[in-house]
Amino acid sequence: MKRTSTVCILTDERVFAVQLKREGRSCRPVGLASVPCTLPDSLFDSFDPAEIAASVKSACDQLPLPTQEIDLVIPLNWCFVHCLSVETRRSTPTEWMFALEEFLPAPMEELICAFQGVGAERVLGTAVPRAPAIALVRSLEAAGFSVSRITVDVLLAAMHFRQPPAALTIEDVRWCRHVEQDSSGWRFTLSTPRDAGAGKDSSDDDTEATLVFATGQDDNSNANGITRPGAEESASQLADVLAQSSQVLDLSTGPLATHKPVVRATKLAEQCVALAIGVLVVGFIGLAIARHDLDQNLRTIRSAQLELYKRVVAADELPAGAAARLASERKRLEGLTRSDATDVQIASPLAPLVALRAFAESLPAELRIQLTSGQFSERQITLAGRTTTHREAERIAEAATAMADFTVRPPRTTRLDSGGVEFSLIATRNER
Amino acid sequence: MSASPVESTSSTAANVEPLETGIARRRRLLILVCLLAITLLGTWLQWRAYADTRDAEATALAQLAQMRADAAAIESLARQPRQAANRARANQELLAQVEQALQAVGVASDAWRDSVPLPPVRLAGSDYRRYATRIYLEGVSLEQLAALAYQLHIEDPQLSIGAIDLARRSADDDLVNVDLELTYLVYAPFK
Repeated sequence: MKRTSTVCILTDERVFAVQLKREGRSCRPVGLASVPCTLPDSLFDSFDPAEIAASVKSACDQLPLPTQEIDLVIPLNWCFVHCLSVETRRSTPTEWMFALEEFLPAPMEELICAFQGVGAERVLGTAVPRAPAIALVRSLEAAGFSVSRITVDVLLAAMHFRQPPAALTIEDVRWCRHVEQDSSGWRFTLSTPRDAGAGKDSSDDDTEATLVFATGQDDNSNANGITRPGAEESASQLADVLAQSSQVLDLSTGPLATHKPVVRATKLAEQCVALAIGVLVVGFIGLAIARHDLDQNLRTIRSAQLELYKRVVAADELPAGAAARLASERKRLEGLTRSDATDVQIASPLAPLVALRAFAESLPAELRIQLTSGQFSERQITLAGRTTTHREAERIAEAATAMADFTVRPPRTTRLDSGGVEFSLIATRNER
Repeated sequence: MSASPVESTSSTAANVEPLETGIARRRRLLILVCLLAITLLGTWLQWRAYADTRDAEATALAQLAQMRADAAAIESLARQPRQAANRARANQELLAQVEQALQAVGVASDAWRDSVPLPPVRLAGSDYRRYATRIYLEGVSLEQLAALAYQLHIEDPQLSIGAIDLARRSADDDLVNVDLELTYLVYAPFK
């Protein structure tokens, strides 16, 4: 239950605004205002909803507390009301509307309906014309109000007084709205004040109740001196009933319920989802365009790869591992041409001859040497021969040290009986 | 007449919304949510495809650059003399080359005494296998030996001299017996 509530009651000639404040379980009126406003007899009559909204706003502006949310009480003559039996089982709202439509002068599509159980055997169906009701609610929203509930005056009073009367009459300027119980449930009638007033003023039946909106002031007595509630008191009573009742017949459904939290949330969710869809669609299109450009670039690159591949390998189409094949071919050719200079173990093809030549060039010209054997390889030179003296053998060894990249061991010599010296010399290529 | 208690019936409780409005609103929201899910899925798939295509383009560009470098290197290497063979030669092929070289440098054919192919050896840490054949020559001069070695190398740059063993035939003879190791490399990378 809200802390404060504002009830706007529409009568024939006035708009009442009653503000109530909740105190514990009860409500206390803290403000009441009314402004003159001639309402149409029926919602099917042409009327200016903005004028009614302006009157509501004018009345609410006179209240002590600011008002944004209102409960609206409309007169019975704006509605169609009928009691339906529950004997015929109807399980969907549409079935109940079709049942009610039989008793209404307009098709269901032109109406907004609400239903409420009355006793164990009856369901009360109420309908208002759709387009005029929507126009009125929109005008109220445009005036800055959100309508929480819409209910019918005589219905509210008859069903929700603390001791619901057997009959109730609302006396207004042009229309008297009457409801009473009978064997078929609640029966609603409309009459003019002249017709309704005959014989009613003297009634002291405590099963009947009367609310008077005929005048704008409290009218305290009738011809017999019985005090009846005046217009403001009647308005206060209705407002108090509505403020304290949570289960009232509420016509603010569907298009009249635009400001209910669930509806607001649903609308917001729809807008967010629609916005998200729009963003995603734009994103999708953007990605599709970008992907199309990428595909074209890719085709251009593939063509260039094919041209390159065809230049090197005779082929008509680009195989799956073309790049790998070219890399492999390059490696193979590098291996065959030995263009990779990191292999230090492979010496020049004529290394032994080069070593022999280097040795021969290193020998002094006057040196006499008879080479008997020689072994020349990439790594080692072994020489055996004869010379005249041991000193000559050492000179041979010294000369051999002139060979680049070779380390020469001191020669081994053997003096020969026949004269001269036999020597052997080993030179080893240095490790790089 | 006592007042009847006010009740709400079960499924026909108060404020039953007009069907075409309340349900239509919920249906509309449900349809929108389904559309959102479909659109989200479609956009996500499109993003995946775009990302894949972008990666493929980057890869293709890198490949093209590498292919250009490889193609230029291949064209350059193709013009260079090969110093290793694709495969091992037949022994007869090698011996025919030796005979041809001996004739070219004027060494008598009877000076060629023997030839022994050696088992191939992989050079440690390299992609090459060395094939060697020992050629035994008798009574050749050092000049003939040098000429033979150069002749073999000029005719076939892939051939090289692995080792030379010389032995003078006699003290008063300038001719030497030669044990010549003729080698060539085969490019055989590890798989």
